[in-house]
Amino acid sequence: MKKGVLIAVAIVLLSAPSSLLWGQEKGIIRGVAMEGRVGFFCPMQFADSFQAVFDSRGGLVFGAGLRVELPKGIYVEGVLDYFGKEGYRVYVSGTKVVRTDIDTSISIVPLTFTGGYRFKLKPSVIPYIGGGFGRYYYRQKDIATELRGESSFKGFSGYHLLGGIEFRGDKPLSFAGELRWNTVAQAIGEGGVSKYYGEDNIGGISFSLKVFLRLK
Amino acid sequence: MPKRNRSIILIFSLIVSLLFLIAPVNRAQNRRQPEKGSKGSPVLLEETLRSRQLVYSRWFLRALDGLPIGGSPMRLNFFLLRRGLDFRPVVSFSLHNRTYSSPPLRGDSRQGERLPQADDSLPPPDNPEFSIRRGIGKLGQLKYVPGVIVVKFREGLTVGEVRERAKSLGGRILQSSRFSDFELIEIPETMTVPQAVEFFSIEPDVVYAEPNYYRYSTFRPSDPYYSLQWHFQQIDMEDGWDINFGADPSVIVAVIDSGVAFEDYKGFRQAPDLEGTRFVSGYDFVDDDHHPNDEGAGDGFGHGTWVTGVIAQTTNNGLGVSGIAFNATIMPLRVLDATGTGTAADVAEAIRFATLNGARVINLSLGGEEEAQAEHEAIQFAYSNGVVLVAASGNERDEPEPPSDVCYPARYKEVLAVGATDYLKKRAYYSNGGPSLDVVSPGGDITADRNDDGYADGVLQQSFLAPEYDEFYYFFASGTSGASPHVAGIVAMLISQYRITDPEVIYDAIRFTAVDLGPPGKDNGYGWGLVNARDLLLGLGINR
Repeated sequence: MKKGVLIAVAIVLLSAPSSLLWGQEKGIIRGVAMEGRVGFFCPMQFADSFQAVFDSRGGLVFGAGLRVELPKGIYVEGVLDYFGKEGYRVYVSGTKVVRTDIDTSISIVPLTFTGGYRFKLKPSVIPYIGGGFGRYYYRQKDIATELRGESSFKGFSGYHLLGGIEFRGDKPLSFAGELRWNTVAQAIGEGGVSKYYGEDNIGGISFSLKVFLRLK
Repeated sequence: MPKRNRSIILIFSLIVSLLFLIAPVNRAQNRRQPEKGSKGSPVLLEETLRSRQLVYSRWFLRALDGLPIGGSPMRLNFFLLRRGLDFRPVVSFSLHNRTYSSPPLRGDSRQGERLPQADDSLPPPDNPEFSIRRGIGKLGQLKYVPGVIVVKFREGLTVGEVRERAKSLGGRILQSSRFSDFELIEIPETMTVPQAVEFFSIEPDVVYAEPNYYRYSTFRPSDPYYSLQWHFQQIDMEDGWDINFGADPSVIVAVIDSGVAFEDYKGFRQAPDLEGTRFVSGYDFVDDDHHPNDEGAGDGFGHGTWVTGVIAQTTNNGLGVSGIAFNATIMPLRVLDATGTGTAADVAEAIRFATLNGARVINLSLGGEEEAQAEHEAIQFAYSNGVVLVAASGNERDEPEPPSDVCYPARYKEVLAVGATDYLKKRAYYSNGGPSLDVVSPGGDITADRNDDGYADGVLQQSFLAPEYDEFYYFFASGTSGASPHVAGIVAMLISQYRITDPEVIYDAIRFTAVDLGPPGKDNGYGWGLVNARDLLLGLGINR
């Protein structure tokens, strides 16, 4: 099914009106840009567990990466992000949460690769969409994981979809607002609150502001 | 609106709509609570008295007690074994203490030997150190003193120069070590300890700077026979004590049983290894008086005294054995007579008495096959008033017609049903199971010595043999009667640590911190698994 979706997307892009496609520029690599981003990650796939332990809906996410623009509006991108949160170990029953004074923290470090398409509506406003896969490194750190020797990062595979709008001027710097959804299944749920709530996915939605520095 | 802008807005709207369609539903409202399973139909009991044919003579026991065995100073002999089960029909209760070992060991003195003394005795209740020790442990607490760092300056600096250096870096000297060469420096409120350490460390006059880390005791009771209490090690009690030091006196645990040897009254004597245990007034629902002294049960064994020892044996007193929640307060309630029989009405009365008089935990090492509404309503009353009820699952698994579920009152959904494990963490051969079983904890197996310590694998606590109410021994005994008070004691520690008032929070905590045994997930043989004191007291993180 995934292959079918990808083929359908490619057909749509190739048959799109020429006004939406990029012009006849020469060379395979049309542009290279370094990017940095800061955003807010909302862990919707494990919302109950997150809310119970961290008493919060989400947290800041930071990242940096490299984007390569290819012909016909296609681009590829590699990004390394970081998300971390601190809280307390708890007892839960239904929606009741009793907090202990034992601190705990989680860290998520996604390394993602995206392929996408940039629409050329006008030179200064460039909407784009994309999707890809990545390796998500997850760690929980507290006294319980230290006793078990489980305080190191573990990697899990995940997928994401994104969309955004880039605002570009004459200067090498440009900015973008991006919405990203990702899913990382079977990363948690072995124990703790995630087992109680039956949540095993550390994915969610993030909205971020990106800064591009065009190198080419 | 220009066509370009409309296109941008349309594309953005499409992306947002797609994401909301994909996003998962919040599952909190759909959360199904763990279910205990159907109540099942009552199982009819046979009225036959079952007992095994073994020689049993008190005089023979006494003679055996004097025999040295392999030079062991404790002289515990285990070649006499007696199992007896009394069943009474319809709505009545029988003991779930299946066996005991004999001959017993005298608890007071051994001929020609002096009992080892404890290095430090338990602080009295009004000692301020008592409240400090509670809740402080190496697990789960602060790693370092907030607002203070340890700094060593280079040699050659005068006291004034050190003070000036600290001040120039924003700190204030709290204390100069008299016997060493470092300073305790109070850092500004705008700095965290790691920041201050890093800031001071780069100074050329500073040799090192570090947090002032806490150091904690690792508690191991000094009771001489503690090493034989394998059942405490099986559930990580030592790590549990590092988090909570045996509960506190405000937590009252009601023991609804055959009474307790808690006082010197008429011919009854207080068990020596309960001398430091705190008691509140209880009640004897059999004789209708305020002296719920243990008269033994069935075979004369001080069942309630033995159960109470698991929960709150006086600990670290240089005598005998240890208990789990040794700082908790016990409420003795007698509902079983000298034959080991009681009634549902008396149990219901006892549960209400305990609730109305401040008990936070009730242990019920007794049961029967019939459901009783009076009893269930009393349990519901207790549960709705924040009392945690823990009951034994029953010992009939190896009967010709084993029950399909745990016995009552363990089967009620408001009660935590506890089965038994042996030394190898296997389900005990006698331990009832079924859909209503919640967890298991050590109950022992008196027919085996799997740890090769020369003694049967029973739960070791102090008790007596009626009618000698003034002579106490240390018994290895087994049964779900012994498993249930392990959980009751840990629950008392949990309540002491975090002041949890909702029983369902505690039940879920026990279920989700238990070590899964048997088939993955909840099963009829082990329930949610083997309770673990350390994991229970640490609470839950995201994934551990």
